[in-house]
Amino acid sequence: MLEVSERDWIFEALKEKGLATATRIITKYIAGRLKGVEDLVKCALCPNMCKFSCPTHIVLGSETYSPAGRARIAYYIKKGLLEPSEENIKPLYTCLNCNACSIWCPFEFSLPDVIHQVKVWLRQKNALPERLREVEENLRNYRFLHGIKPVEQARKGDVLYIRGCTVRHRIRDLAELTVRVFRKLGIDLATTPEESCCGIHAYYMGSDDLFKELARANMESLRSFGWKYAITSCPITAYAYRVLYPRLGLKPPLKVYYVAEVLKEVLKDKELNEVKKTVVLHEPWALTRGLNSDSVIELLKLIPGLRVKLPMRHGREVFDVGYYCTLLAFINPELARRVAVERLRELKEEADVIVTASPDAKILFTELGAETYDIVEIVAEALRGVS
Amino acid sequence: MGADKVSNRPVDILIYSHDYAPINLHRLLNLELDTLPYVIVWPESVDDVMGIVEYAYTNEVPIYPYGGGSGVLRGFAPERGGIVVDLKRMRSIELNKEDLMVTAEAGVNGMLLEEYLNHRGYTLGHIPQSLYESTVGGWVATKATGQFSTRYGGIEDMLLCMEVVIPPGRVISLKPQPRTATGPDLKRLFIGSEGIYGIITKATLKVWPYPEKRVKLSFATETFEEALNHVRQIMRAGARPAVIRIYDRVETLRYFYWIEGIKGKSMTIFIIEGNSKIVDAEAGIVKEIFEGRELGEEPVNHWLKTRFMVKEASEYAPLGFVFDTIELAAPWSKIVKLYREVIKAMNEVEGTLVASVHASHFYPQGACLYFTFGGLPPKNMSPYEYHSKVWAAAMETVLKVGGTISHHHGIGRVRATWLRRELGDEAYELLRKLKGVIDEKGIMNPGNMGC
Repeated sequence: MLEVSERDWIFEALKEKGLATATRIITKYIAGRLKGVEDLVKCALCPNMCKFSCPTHIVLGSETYSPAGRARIAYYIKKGLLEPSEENIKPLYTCLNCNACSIWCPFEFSLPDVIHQVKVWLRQKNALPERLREVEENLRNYRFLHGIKPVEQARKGDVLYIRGCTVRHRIRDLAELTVRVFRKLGIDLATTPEESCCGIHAYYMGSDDLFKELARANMESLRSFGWKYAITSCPITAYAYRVLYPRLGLKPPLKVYYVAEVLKEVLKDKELNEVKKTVVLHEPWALTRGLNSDSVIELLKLIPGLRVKLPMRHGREVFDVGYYCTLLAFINPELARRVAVERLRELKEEADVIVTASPDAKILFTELGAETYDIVEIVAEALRGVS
Repeated sequence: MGADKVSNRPVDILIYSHDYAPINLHRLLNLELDTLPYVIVWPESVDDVMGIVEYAYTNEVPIYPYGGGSGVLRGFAPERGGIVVDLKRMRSIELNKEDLMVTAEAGVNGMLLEEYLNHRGYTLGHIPQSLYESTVGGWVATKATGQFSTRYGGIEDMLLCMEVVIPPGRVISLKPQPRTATGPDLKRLFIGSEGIYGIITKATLKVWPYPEKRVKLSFATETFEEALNHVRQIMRAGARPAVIRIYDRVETLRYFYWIEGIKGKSMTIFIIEGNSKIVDAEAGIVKEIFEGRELGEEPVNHWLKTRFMVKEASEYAPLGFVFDTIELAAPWSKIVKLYREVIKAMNEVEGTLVASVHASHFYPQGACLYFTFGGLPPKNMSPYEYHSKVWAAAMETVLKVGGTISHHHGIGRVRATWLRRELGDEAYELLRKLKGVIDEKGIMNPGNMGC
């Protein structure tokens, strides 16, 4: 049994002081504890021990774009030292929301959580970077990140397939391939033209009411047709349904899986074609840090002939990129590209061919000229007759 | 230079107003940010740096070099406006495995460098507590040392050569050699120069194959002094554990409160690493010499897990507490006196609630003592005044006892007052003359180190 506790060293040290002083300090200490120091203040006062993990900080080399730097900006804005002008608030919205900082934080904070209430407060004061207003309008009016939803036919099936805004908007072929892969495995995926954005961008912008509205509508839609479960090509969508929605008190009526989580189970006993490739894996933070899932690595291990290499920063410490699934594609696409260049350099030290589970990464790396496959494309190659 | 490399936006000006000197937390909280630069630049090449220095020299504008911003002595404080030069976009790394050297640009982050080396089977062995935030250039400029210094040495032992830009915009580029006898060692001129002579842009450092074996040992002794004596004998015997840390009874309780029976004792931890045969031999020496209650690996694992968790300052500063650390060093013959006298002096300052120490860097000739103090400024005293009083008490004491006023944090603006007495008049004047020769217009980090 322990004799002492975490804070006892302070009281032991105080014993050697006069009683009056000790009483004053203890009283103040307890009062302080009761009142509680805001997380934002603690983060702003930190020596920024997490900043080496922050993708935007690393590529820009700027303290302004570091986690504690952003917390300080939020603090200065809240205290009135900085005006909430477009220029001053912008660094808060260029955060990738990737939670890399949380891995290294002694308080286990993540910067997005720490500054969220300041963003909500700013939104209530009608402060938002101009380029994000259109995104917010799209979400409000169309429930789709990119404006009017594409015209589509509904597809019937036992399992709902939530493709995600990025896949629907930019890489529709991947959605079609995913449907064919699952059909080959005996699972019919249902799609609906009413599919709506998970709303995470509204959350990132501090538009909490809109986020809640979208979350509730999405929860309701899951109840519609008696699906067994849902899968998605978008790791962020899985994260929103499984982590963020429950924070609002919303319990999904069925589980939303990222595709790899289902494929790794379904493919376990299948005979697979050899895929003779050496690839490097880029996993998205939403799976590794957000959902604590190693499903992508587990899935790739099932594929014969495939040699998978891991970059220096992988798993929970992954250095992620961001585009449509962040606010960067809208507020600073050049910064998104620079982050992707940085990551690509690291990946290419291991192999020329990249496999990813992130639609954003597939778009960015492909645009930068790298041979990049989504994991479903690798699975399709391993399944004879699916292309 | 290009618009994206330069900013005078208010948001950047405020963010680049201070370093991580703990007293600055009160400035930040109270919105008393009075050292504001005119402009921040992010050079991407040595040519960019040369251009900036040339511009500053021509226009007589002060320059304040910036690395990770983790300095704790206000070595970075743009008190005369000027140009902040943040080196963090200069971050190329080149590893030479055959020669066991790595060349890194000044802005390379410490943790990313160590991860880069580890991924390839090497280590630098330079692990300061600021590893996650500090940069290669900052390490050299502040003469840093790390937690594993007893084996790998300080940055001065690792540095083979450097590139540095000095006024009026010229570059000095020294060559990496295992050793060279070519006149005075010019690189030493810039180690610990804290930006007063020039801007370090690149460094070549020694690396080591990643250690094949690591042994972790820990012991409890009745007193701090007793543990110091055991370690002195271990150093005399020629063993070089990478990590040795001895905690006084206050810090033992602070960090190892969860160990039964630890209250009132002094904890010592060791990490011995490298070639397995050498490690086994060194571990044998430690076990033979160190007399204390063996506590196994767990306290060392706990330290490894928590050693970068700097959180108390963030928790306590908003409640009005003032915390800081003061690292000193002395030869073995003076070390116990230094420990007792400095703790006494800090405790005697009105408002001090806690004064404690650990010893964390060792040499056959002596050791570093790392003091921590915390207190509440008395009524009618600002946090800044209280902070100055404790610092003055510690500095006066170390000078009286015969130790050195800094082991590895450097001088900055916090210690500048005592530098002349530390060095002696003639040496201090030489330092100032050198400043005048290299930086005739006084544009490089003016005011730092009293120069």
